[in-house]
Amino acid sequence: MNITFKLYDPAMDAAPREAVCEVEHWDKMTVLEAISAANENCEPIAFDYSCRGRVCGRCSVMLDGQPVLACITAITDESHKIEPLAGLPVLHDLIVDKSQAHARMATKYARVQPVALTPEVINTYDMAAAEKINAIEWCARCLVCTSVCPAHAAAPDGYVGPASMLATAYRFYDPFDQGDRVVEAVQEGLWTCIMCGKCTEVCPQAEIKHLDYWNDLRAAATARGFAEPADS
Amino acid sequence: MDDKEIRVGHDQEESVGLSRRAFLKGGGALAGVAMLAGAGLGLTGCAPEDGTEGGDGAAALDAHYTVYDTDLLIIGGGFGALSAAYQAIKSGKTVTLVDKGPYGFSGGCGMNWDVIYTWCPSVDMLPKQATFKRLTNQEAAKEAYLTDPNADALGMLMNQGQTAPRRNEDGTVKLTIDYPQIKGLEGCFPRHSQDKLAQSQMITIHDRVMLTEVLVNDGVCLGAMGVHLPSGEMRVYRANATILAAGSNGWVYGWSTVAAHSFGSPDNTSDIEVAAYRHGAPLGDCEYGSYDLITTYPTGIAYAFNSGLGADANEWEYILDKDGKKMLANATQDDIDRFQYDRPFFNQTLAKEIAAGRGTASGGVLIDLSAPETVASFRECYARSIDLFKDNFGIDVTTQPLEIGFEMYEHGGAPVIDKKMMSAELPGLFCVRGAGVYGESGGTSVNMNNVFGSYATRCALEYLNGFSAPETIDWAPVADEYARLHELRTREASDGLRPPAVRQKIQKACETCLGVLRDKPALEAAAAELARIRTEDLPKMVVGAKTMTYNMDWKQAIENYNMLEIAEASVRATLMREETRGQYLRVDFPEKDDTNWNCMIAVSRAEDGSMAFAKREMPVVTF
Repeated sequence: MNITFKLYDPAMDAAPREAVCEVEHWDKMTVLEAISAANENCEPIAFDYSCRGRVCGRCSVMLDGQPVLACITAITDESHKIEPLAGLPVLHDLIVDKSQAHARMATKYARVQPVALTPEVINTYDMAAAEKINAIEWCARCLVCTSVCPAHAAAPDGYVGPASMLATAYRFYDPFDQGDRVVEAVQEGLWTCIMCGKCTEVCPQAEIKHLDYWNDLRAAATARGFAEPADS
Repeated sequence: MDDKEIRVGHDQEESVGLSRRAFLKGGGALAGVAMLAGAGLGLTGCAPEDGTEGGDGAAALDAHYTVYDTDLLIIGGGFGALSAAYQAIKSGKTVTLVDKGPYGFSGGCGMNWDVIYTWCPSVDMLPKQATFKRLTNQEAAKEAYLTDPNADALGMLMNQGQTAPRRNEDGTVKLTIDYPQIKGLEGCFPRHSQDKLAQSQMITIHDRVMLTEVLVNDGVCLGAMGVHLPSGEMRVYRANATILAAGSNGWVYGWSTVAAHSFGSPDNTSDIEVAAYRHGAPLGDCEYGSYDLITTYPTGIAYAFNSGLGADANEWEYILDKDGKKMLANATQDDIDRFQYDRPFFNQTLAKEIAAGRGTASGGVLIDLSAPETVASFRECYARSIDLFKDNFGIDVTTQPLEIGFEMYEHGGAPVIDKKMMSAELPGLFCVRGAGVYGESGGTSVNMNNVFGSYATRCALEYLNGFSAPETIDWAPVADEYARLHELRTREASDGLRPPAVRQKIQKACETCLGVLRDKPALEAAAAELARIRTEDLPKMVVGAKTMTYNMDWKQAIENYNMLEIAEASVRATLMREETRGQYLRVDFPEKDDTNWNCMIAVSRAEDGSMAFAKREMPVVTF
C-alpha cells in the first residue's frame, strides 16, 4: 500500500514535505507497524511510541485526517495519509510537543488536599462517583480528543479542550479533593464546549464518556450560579 | 537564580595562553593566528598537544554543551525514581530528575496503567517473604525495609493523589491481595504520583534527555551527561551524588515488528548501567528475568500487557498445548497451590512442557477463553482488551484459542552495590535497582522500587554529608563523549546498516536463549552472534539522517552499544551458571545447585575490553 507521510525537520526544512512510501501490508497490521516499516525500509521517519497498549499516549498521529493512537489502530490495505497530530508544534516528522499541555494537565490533576488523609477518611468513598472515577483513570493524555475538538479549534484560548477538562472532572468527582473544580471548569471553557461528542468518538478508552462528566459539571455550575452564558 | 553555565569548546588553558584547542575553537575570533594555517593544522587528524587525551580528529571538535549543577541527580522517572525524588525534596538539597521520555516520566512508569501495588504490612513478615530469601544483597534490603518511611503504603499512595478506585460496595478500600505477609492494591495509576511530584518547587525535571555517560573524575562519579533529544544539544548534569533509577532492560529479548518480547519500553536500554560498567562498576544479576504470558497476535500489539490478554497462574486451567489439550492437566493440588505464590515454579512447569514439544511453533502456548467464568475472573485491565480485539481487529477471543507467549517484563542487569546502595567501584553513583536487590527473582518490583528509591536517597544524603567537591573539574571526558556521540551521528559507511537493523539482530540473538528455556547450544550460538555483531555490524552502523533534531536513528545507534553489552552479559552469565535458578529453566542443568551457585554472578570490564565473570557472595542476614 502507498502511504503518504507529512515529514518536517524544522532545523533542516523550510516547510513540511510529503514522502510516499510503499509499505507491505499484512493481516491485522497496525498504523504503528506501517510507520515502523516505512522508517526501516523507505526513509528515516521520526516517530515516538512506548506501550503498544493505548496507555502511554505517545503514538498519537493523524490517519487520513483523523487522530488515532497508532499502536492499536488497524490499517487497511489501501492508500493512506499519516501526519503528525494536529494542533501541536511539530518537533520532527510525527513527533509533536505536548509538554505545555501535559504540564497544565499535571497541575490540574494534582489533588488539592490540605491535610493528610487518615485511614477512616481513606475508607470513606462516594460510590455514586466510583464508576466515573474508574473510567477517567484510563485517560492516557494522548490528546487525540483535543486534536479533534471543534470548540477548541474555534476558540483555542477559550476552551482548554477535553483532555484537560477530564482532569478537572476527575478531581471534581474525587471525594478527597478540596479544590473548587466547578469554578475551574467554568473558567477553562465548560460552556464553550458544544457537546458534539467527537471527543468520545475518537477516544481510545472505551470507558470514558466525556459528555456525562460535562453534564455533571454543568449542573453543578448552574447550581453554583455559573449558568450557561446567554450569548453562548 | 541561574544554575546553568554555558560552556563552548571548554578550555581551561584559555586564560594562560593560546593552546591548540583554543586556536581550533576560535575560528573567526582569532583572526590573528591565520598564519598558522600553513603549518598544516586542520580540523581533523590533530593530536592535541595540551596533554589531554582525545581521539584523532574527534577531539578537535568544538564540544558545545550546557552544564546544569545539582546536589542530587536522579536518572530516570519511574517508580524507583519517584520514591527517590519524594525523599529528596524533603532534604533541602537541589534535586534534578532527568528522564529520557516525554511527559516528564517514561518507561514502565510512564504508562498510565493499572498497577497492583504490593507491600509487606510489617517488617516482622519480611523474613517469611519468598522473594526476600532470594535476594543476594540482603544487607541493603534489610536496612531499606527497616528504615522505610513509607511502610504505610496505602497512606502513602493516597496522599500522593491516588484514589484507590476499586472499592467494596460500602466504599471501603478493596485490597486485591490480602495475606499476613503481603498486601496488594489494584488500580494504582502512576501518573497521580508523578503529577504531585511535578508541582514541587524543590525539584527540576528535565524530560526528553537521554543520558549516555557518567562524568567521572579520579574514579568518582560527579554526575552524568547526554543529549537533549528535541534539539540534539549536549547537556552535562554535574551532581555531587547521582541516583540511577532507570528501569530494567527487557527490550533486549526478542523482536516482533514493533516490540521486543517484553511489556517493557523502548526507553529502557541500560544506558547508564553500561556507562558505569565501562568505568569499572561490575554488573550483576544479568542472567535473571521475570516473565508473564501475554497475547502475541495481532503482531502490532504483541507482548503488550496493556492491550493484550494474559494468563497468570490464576488461569492455569485454561492453558492449552499446541494440540488444544490442557497443558497442566497433571498438576497436583500442591502444584496448583504453588502456582499461585511461586511464579518461577509456574513458569518453569510450563517451560518444561514446552521443552517436551507441546508448545506452538513460536514457543508459546494457547489459552482458551470460551468459558465465561475465565473472562469473569480476569482483571479489569485484561478484560478491557476483549472489546479492543473485537472492535479494532475483528477477533472474538471467546471463539478461538489465543496464542500467548512469555514476555520478559523485568530483567536483572544492574551495577553491583554495597549495603548503602552505592557502587564501591564508582563512588557517588547510587543504584535503586542495583544488583542483588531482587536477585534470582529477576529485576525488581513496584514495591521494592519504592522501598529502595527512598533508601537510595537517604544513603546519598549521608554520602553528601561527608562529601567535598574536588578543587578542579576535568572536563575532558565531556569533550570525549561529545566526540563519540557525534561520530556516531555523522559516520558514513559504504555498506552501512541502519540502527533498527542492528538492534533487531541483537534482539533476535537473545530471542533464542534468554527466555524461560535456555540451553547451551542456543546460548553459545547467541554469544557468537553477539560477538559478530560487535566486530562486524556495530562499526558500520550508520544513521539514516544526520539531523540533530529528535533523531531517532541517532538515539537508537547510541543505545545499541549498551543493548549489546547487556545482551552479551546476560547470555554469558547464563552460560556460566550451570544450574536452574530464578524464572528460567536451564535445560541442560535442570536442578538448583546451592552448593556451587548460591551466589551472584558479576561481570566486569577487563583491561582488554572483554568481559570477566566472577562469583560474588554476599552475607545472609538474620532478623
